[in-house]
Amino acid sequence: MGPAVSLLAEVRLALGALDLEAALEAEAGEVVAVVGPNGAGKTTLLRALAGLVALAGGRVVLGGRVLDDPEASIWVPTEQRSIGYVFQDYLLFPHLSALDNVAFGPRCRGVDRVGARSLARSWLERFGLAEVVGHRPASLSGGQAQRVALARALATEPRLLLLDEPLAALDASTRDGVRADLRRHLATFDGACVLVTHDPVDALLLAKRLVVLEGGSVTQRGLAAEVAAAPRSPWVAELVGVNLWRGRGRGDGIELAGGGWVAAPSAGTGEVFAVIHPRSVALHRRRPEGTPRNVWRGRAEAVELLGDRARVRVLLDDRVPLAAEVTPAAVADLALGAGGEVWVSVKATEVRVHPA
Amino acid sequence: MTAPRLARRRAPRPPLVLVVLAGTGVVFVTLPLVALVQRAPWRQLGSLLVRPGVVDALWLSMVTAGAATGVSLVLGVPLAWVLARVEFSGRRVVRALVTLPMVLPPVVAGVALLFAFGRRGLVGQWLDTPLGILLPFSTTGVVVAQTFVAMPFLVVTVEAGLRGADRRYEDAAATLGASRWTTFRRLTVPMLAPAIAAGALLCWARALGEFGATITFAGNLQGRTRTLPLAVFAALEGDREAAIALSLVLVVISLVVLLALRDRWWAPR
Amino acid sequence: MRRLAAVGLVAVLAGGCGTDAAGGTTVTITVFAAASLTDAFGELGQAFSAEHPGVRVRFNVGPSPVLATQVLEGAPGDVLASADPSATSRVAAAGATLDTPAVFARNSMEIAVPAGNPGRVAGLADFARSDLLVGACAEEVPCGRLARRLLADAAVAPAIDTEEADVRSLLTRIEAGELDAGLVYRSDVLAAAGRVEGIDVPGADQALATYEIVALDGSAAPGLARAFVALVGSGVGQRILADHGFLPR
Repeated sequence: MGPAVSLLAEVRLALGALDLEAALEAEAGEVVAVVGPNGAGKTTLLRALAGLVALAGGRVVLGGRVLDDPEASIWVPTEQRSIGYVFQDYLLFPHLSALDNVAFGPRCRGVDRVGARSLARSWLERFGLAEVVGHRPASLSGGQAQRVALARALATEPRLLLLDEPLAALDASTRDGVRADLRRHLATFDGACVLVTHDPVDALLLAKRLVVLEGGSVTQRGLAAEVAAAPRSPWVAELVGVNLWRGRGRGDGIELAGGGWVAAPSAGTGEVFAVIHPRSVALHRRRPEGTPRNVWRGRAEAVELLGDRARVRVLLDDRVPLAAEVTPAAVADLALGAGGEVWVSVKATEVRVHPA
Repeated sequence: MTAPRLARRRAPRPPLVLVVLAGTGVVFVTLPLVALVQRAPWRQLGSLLVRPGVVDALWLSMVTAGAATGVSLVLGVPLAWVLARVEFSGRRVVRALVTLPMVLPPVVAGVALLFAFGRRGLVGQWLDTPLGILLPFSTTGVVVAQTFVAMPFLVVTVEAGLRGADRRYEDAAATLGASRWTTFRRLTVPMLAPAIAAGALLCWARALGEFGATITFAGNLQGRTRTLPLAVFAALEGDREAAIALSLVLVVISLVVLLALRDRWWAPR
Repeated sequence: MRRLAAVGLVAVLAGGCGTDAAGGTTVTITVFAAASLTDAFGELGQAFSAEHPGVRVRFNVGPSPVLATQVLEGAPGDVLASADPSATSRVAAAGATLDTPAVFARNSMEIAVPAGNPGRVAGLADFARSDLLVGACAEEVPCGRLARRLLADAAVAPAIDTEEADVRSLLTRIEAGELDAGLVYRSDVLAAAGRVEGIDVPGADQALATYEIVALDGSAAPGLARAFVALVGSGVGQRILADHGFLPR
């Protein structure tokens, strides 16, 4: 393990219609997710950290080294920054094999051809890509290309890893597997990592802390669970306000880590995450009859109005928090006050399961 | 009103006026070639093409057009890169100047080259007496004339390729630690290979057909400066059969080049 | 170069007569003339127009063999004046002339050097020097054949650097100083007086160019064509030619 590396960034710049002003910190070994709607400036923020766009004000410091500080006239060009960048569509060099794509970085950093290739080979093997070493990017599957891009970014052993929507280009069937791989690899990465995503599942499963970027400014930041539990805008609520539980798959349901059972078809086996969107949660005065397979008893802790919807925080069995989203009318109907008793139901088919 | 619209779509007959004009255009362009073929001395063609003067001209043309293409690649690809990638004031003027030889009458190009590199030229006077380098009336002079006229075709093609290319690949290379020079060498040039090949082929074909600038600047001497087009010109005065045979060679080469280029030149990436 | 210009000119002249700027009807006759005749025929054209008001004379100037080819391929012209009897006979043999070609002038060869003679050329022997740039006409044209005959007679193996298509492009290169010496006609040295110097060649009177003129069969104005031929052979015409350095027939 090298010395602890941390990123300290204060980015101010204007690009077209975008006025970006955002502060960002990431400790060594930590993954920070930057989430926000399209056009919020997420990618521009990453490009500023990489030195692909210059700051107008502020500064970027990585592991004590100032990379960009316009006031002090300090500017380290991209190629001299210790960064790894995974682009949204990967940008694998089409004329080079997977091996030479990964060897490209070490070659540029002074490793000789033979050394760079053997280094690249070991990275590809580590990512389970031994059989596509000689393939050109055009003949790789989406998941393989994503892993080659990650291996290429990591092969220079950067102190800062930048991931721009790393899973967005994948179809739903491969995304879960690739995400689980990415999670595993990020766990062993000892530098700082900034992840840009618009997918709440990616953000919550991959990052410890979230930074919400809207219209070029940070509107909320904090631990993922905190932000998810107390979203400050409808957009955040929509994006990250999902219920996320960890547990073990048991075929037709999930045994939660702290005890409890969630019915879900094809829950699989092994460590999984259960994701329930607040809008899929129904609240009742009495125990509901009929089809919903998950019925719990709980207590309404807080009610919050977010635009035309109301967000209700419920504590199940006095220990498991759950967010529900209902209409303001329903709040009145149910006479939900703090501490009120409610019944909660969720259809089994509304529970989405992702491998951990 | 759905039915008539459908019917119209099913029979997309091009307007007669356009077809007639287009056909006239095709006939206008091909007729001289047909006439050339019709006058060709097919029976003596073999013996005409192995005459010393013809062989000399063919060989000289291949060598000089090849060399001109080489020089154009070395100077033209970086030039295209600068025009496409570096922002500087006066870039439009530089681009216009660099592509000027494409539309300049080649004779004017030849005269301008004489004023620059001739014995009493701007630069030529310094090359001649102190250095003993003389470009006019030399094979090198032929290469100079061909490069001057043909390089813009390469520059224009490669620059179009660069503008169509995704610049973010260059960003990706920078994040991996590649300097701009490394990026140019290991990424830009290989990824641009199709455009460079197309540009080089076009440049070579133009150099091969070069006449006006060559005869004005480099003179006309068998084996030294008399390329294929100059040999056609010289043969017209005495040996018309040989002139036609040489012309056929040029037509065939040019046609092959254009067929090889058809996709890339008309639909650059 | 001159040839390209000539071809273009022929295309332009595909008409024949038209109206002049003043609105009066003009007749234009086209004379195909060897390159070395450029200046002398320019003056002859003016003399002809003075004698025949409303008639303009235009010239299509080029190497004699090319002029012959153009005529045989149907280029519209009224008179052919060539420096090469073989070219004229080719046209006559094809039946493209109105009359029998007639000799109207001769010309002798001289060495032309740029003003000041930078190469210090003294005679034909200098054509063998490899440190000089020397030129001659191509063998296909009369000035090229005569130059080679003179060099062969003087037993000089020349180191020629360029073979020009016609004598005027050779002369242009000498004037510009791009060549140290070249073998041209005496009339050309006279035409470029001040810019080139002439050096006499021994035996030049034994190797003369012969100029022939004939009215063409395709002429739209055969009377004017014959009148122009007559003018060239007349005392006036011969005097103009002599002024330009030509020898009498």
